[in-house]
Amino acid sequence: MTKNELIQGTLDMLVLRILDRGEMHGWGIAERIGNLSGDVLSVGEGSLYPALYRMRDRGWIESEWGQSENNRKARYYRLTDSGRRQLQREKETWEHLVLAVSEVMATA
Amino acid sequence: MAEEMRLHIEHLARRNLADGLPPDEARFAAHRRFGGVDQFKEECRDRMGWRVVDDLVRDARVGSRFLRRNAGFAAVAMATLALCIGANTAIFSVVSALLLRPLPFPEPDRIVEIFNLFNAKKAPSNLVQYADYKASTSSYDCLGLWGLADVTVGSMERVTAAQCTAEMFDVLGARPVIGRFFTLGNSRWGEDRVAVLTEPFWEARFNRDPAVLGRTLNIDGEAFRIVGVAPPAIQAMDARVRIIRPIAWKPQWISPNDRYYFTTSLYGRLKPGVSAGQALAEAAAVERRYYETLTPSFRQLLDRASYRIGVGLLQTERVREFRSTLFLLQGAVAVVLAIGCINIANLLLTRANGRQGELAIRLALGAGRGAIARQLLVEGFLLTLSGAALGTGLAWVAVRAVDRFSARMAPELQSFGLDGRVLGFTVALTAVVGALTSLLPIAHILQANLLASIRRSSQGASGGRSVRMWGSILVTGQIASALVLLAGAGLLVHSFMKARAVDPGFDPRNLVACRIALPGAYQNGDRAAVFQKGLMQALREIPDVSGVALASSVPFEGHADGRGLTLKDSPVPADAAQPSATEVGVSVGYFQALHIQLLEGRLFEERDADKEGSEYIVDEQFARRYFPGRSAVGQHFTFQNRHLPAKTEDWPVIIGVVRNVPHNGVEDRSNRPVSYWPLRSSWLPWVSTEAGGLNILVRSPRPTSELVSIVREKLRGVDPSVPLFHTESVQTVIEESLDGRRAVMLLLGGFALLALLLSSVGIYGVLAYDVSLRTREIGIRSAIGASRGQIIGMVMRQGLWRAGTGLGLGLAAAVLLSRCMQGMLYGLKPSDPWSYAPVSLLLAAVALVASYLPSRRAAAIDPVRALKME
Repeated sequence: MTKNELIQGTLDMLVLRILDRGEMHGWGIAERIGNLSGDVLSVGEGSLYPALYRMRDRGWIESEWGQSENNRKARYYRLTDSGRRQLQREKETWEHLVLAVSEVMATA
Repeated sequence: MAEEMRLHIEHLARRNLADGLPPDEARFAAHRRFGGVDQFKEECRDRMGWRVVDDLVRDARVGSRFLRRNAGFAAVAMATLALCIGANTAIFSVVSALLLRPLPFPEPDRIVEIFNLFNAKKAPSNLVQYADYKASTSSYDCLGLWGLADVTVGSMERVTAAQCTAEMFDVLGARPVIGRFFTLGNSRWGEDRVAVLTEPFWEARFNRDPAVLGRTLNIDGEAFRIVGVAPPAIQAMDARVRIIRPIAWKPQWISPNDRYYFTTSLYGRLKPGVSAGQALAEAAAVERRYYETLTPSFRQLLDRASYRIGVGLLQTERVREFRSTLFLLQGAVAVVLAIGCINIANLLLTRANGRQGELAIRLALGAGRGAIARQLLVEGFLLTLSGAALGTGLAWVAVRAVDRFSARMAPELQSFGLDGRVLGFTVALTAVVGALTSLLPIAHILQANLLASIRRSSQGASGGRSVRMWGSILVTGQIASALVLLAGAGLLVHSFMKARAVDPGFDPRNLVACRIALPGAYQNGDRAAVFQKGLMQALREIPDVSGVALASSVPFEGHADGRGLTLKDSPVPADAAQPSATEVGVSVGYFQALHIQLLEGRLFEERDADKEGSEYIVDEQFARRYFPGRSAVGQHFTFQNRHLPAKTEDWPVIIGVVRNVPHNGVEDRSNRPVSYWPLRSSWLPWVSTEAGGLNILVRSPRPTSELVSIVREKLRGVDPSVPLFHTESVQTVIEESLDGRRAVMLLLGGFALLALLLSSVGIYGVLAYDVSLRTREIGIRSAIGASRGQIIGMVMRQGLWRAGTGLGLGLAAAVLLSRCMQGMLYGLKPSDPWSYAPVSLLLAAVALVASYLPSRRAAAIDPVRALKME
């Protein structure tokens, strides 16, 4: 199956959206994106972690160590209030973008 | 973060396992999917901004590995740095302490000294000027007198004491540690039996006991009451001072007659807003007013002596005599440092050239130019730092030695050390040196086309060319600088040899000098006469003693003072210098004891003791200068220039002429002849308080220490309350009089030799590099028939023409610069060829050897290997 690279900005939005549902650890986020998109979108771990650290620096998410499902140590990430606001902003931007592209494709 | 990655990978691996992959494949697949973990970690860290520190640490590790592998190169570089930075630090510590450190008094730039100048020679001041300036000037907040003397404390302890007026403490701005200082009342004769202690004395003798106030201290046989303790800052006036007494006088002692007899130093604190220049103008006006009241003949005397008043900052005045020496030495070490830096830069440059291959590969692998530059810079700094650390250690040792030396040569100065300012200087110097020596190779490397150099086999021939040119120019400069230093050292060595060869005019062998101090009780006439008779007799009784005498100064100690004089029947032409002579008081038997030859007339005899003291013996220089073509015996002159005797028989007469003796040693530039006056017992107490002290001279073949203890015994037999001190063989006194000159000579000589060594390493380096670049060419030459000698000649010529140019330039520069050294030379002109010739030969010889070594290597190049070499 071909792997489609995600544009960096979109990855941020996807991660925020996943975390909106609840806190999650790093590989859980990657798996979830893969599952939810039907494996169309696959997140390279090489992009995921830098994105997570960047978002953490900006204060959109915060992290803490905890226990995973199979009793292994894992670092959990969760959304902050400013992250929630950022998610909203990005969602709007995305929808605008999609609308514009569809317009062009439909009527050009 | 690493933990997190690891866990993620584990999770992926487990998933792969669950999917059915064999275990190691599972893991491997997980890793692969994850991508290069380390590179990834690096990227993450990048974004976290820790990169700079990380990189520097890594550069340092790589750099130290590089240095360890090239231990020889590193050792040479570090040794050079250690010597250069160490020497600079040591000299700077002295410069800092003497020229830069402000005096530890409040507003030290307002403390001035008022002094008198005769023929540009400085003389202090006196009570009369002090009283006059107090009354007639307005530039000062306060004025104080300060003088030094040695006194006996308790029964036998000799100590340096200061005498000052009460205002002196205000001039300095000092506050008592405990108790108080003097009052103006203490300057009245009879009310001056109070003393102020200094901290070192209070600590050593009284253990800082505050109850010391009010106790009495026995000074020179009289009781003084302790009223206070002075702060440690007072040691800046003179490090030897232990006790301070008031200067006291009777009002009639302030007589205009004594205005030009200078004994004590005068200091003042300028009023705010008044400059030293303004104070000087005011002082000149005061002196002018006084000058107008003098007789024409005395005015003429002052004019001929170019008399002037001077006002200078205390800060500058106290170190005036050291300034030129310090500048010379600091300049010399700076030159040595420059030469050393050039060597190190060359070293780093040739190393960098050799690493072009390695650096080019790094560039190809993705290192930025900035990264490479940073690496080279860090290496350079590692080198410089280690060299500087070694150098500071060296400097610390050197400063201790300098300190011990100065304690002997200039005991009035406080000790030197590596203080904050000096260490800061070292750090700054290290940074500059590190930057300079590293930047040159970096700039050069980054300019070169490194990628092309991987392909090209030889070590960057085009880069080599500009390196060679710079190398030549710099090495020529090094040689020239080294020659300048060597020339200076040569001049000093030659001067020293001439100074040592000076004929002392007497026989210093088997002669011992000791000093005694007569307590105050001796000031009543008879006691001194009895003492003198008893002492001389007791000393003459010692077996093996062939001569005994008393004198007011020891030859070559430098304590003999001089005065202007007036000749009775020989008017001096208006444009000639003012006649003057050094005065030495001697007892009967002095000339015989010292084996000073009598040329004319007669010596002092016992019968002269009863006369009223108007006879002199003069030396050859006196006779020839003031009575050319005639006999000096029977002529008259006097030191009482203000009130010349009316009748001829009241004029002092010359009774004899003796051989020249340079009483103040070789360093005395005053060129004054000597006059001897008879030391009669009534003068003894007064002489023993003067700077020269009262000295006993004994001639005997016994060893010094043995003789001294016998003399001490005899003295105790005559009067046990009189201390004996400053015992030395006169031979030692003469040697020690040259100590200062010897020290500067050795220092400059050492620096010059260091410069020579470094320059020769420079030549060697440049030539060796040259040879390595031209290996193929040399191989070809020898293959087609060049003989060993021809190759050696070819390479040596390279070295020798550079050395020759350097030598020429250096000689020219040396001749120009040596004129500044005039004051330090003895019996030589600055262009003295006998000093330049030996050092030039030395330089040429060293350059020859330094050129020969690489040329030998060149001749040993195997042509086959050279041609095959890529």
